[in-house]
Amino acid sequence: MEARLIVCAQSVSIDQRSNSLSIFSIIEELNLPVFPYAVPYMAVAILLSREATDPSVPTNLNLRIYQNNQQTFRASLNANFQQQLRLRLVVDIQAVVLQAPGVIRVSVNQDDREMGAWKIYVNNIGPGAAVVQAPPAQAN
Amino acid sequence: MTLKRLRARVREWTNKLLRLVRLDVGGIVIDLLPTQLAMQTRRGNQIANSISREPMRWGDQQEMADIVALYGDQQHRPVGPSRKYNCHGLSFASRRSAIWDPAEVGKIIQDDEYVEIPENEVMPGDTVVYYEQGDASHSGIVLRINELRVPIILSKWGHCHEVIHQLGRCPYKVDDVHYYRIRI
Amino acid sequence: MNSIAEANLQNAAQAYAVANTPLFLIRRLQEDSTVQEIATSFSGEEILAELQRSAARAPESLLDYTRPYVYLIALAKQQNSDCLRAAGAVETKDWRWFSYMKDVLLETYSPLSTTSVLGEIARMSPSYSTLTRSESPALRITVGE
Repeated sequence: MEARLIVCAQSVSIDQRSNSLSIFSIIEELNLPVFPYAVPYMAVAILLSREATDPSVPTNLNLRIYQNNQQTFRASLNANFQQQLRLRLVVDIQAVVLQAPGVIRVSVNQDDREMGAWKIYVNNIGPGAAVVQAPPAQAN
Repeated sequence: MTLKRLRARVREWTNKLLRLVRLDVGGIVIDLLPTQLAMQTRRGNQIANSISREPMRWGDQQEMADIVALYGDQQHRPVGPSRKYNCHGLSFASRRSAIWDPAEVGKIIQDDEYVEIPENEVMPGDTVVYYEQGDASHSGIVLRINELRVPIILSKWGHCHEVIHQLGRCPYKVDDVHYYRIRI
Repeated sequence: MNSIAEANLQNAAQAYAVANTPLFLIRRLQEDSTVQEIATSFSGEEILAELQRSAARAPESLLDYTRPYVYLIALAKQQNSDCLRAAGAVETKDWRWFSYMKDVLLETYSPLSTTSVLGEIARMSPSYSTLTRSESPALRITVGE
């Protein structure tokens, strides 16, 4: 089994008429003024293919996120090829925190075998010192 | 029973037998007339075809009337509805049978040595094929080119009737249309 | 629609009436909104049962000819292909394109799995899942001049 495609984007949709997958606003780079930063939403589109001898329901599929080569996130994926040789997987990820600029790598794995990965370059574009504003104090 | 009545009854049953095309004996279907005709290309390759002699059902005439209303500005020939042949059967098989496999249309074009004609050189008698995602979804015969340089086509619309229509005034997409002329 | 039998198949019947090839019929029925509504409103088992019912009697009208094809396309739009495969066992001798169309739909069936996962903030705060994509988290940082 292999991942023919893995890509992160702001939005992934399925056309109900044609059943085709569309990917909008691919995330290849994030330019952020402040860290840590919580990415509110990201969609990961994955195209998997298998040989006829591979199981139709693969086990131990997982998605991992590495930030500057450190694993910061892992989630199990359920997949069912339904006896076909190709499968589209769409993973919606909510609220991933980016601690610092660098390289984010989103990978799809079976057990510890990485089948494919997508890199996002994260840049710090903050112009100057940041002033943290705390919520106003409560009146006594 | 009088002799006259007996003759009438025999005539009635004979006509019924002559129209009988299929026997259904306890779920086993026997076709009495061929459902595929022996039809070959110039190179002797059999053209896969199917002829359905099923009678028209209720709704077919109504559907035909709906089509006539929808395309009222085109000319509707009183030929059909019929399942015996389709558009490719009209274009390539003299209305004898239906050809619905897109590969067969390609085979006919190749074996019978059709050559493709540029749109600006189309003449009456040429064959037009409408393609959609690789499927030959429709075909017809060019009858004439009108004053606006739009080909006027004679074609059969599925199970419905034959229509003489402008190239684009039909239920089929015209994004990918090709014209062919047979090479003698 | 409360039942599949109530579906308005007029557009589908017209597509069937003018179809010269089964691939044309597949494309038109895939675009048909009533077919889409059947696929999303009913389960695969319900659609399959209706397909079996419609194919069990000889067609008497244009709509009767159209129904099995409509249900076949609706099954192909389901997330699960089990019922589409089961449709192959339905006796459809009066529908000469049915077997070919079923084979094409199975051949081109492309399964899709969708999963939602929660990141760190979302896992720490269950209410985070109610936020829209345009909202930012509670911590605000103002960049000075």
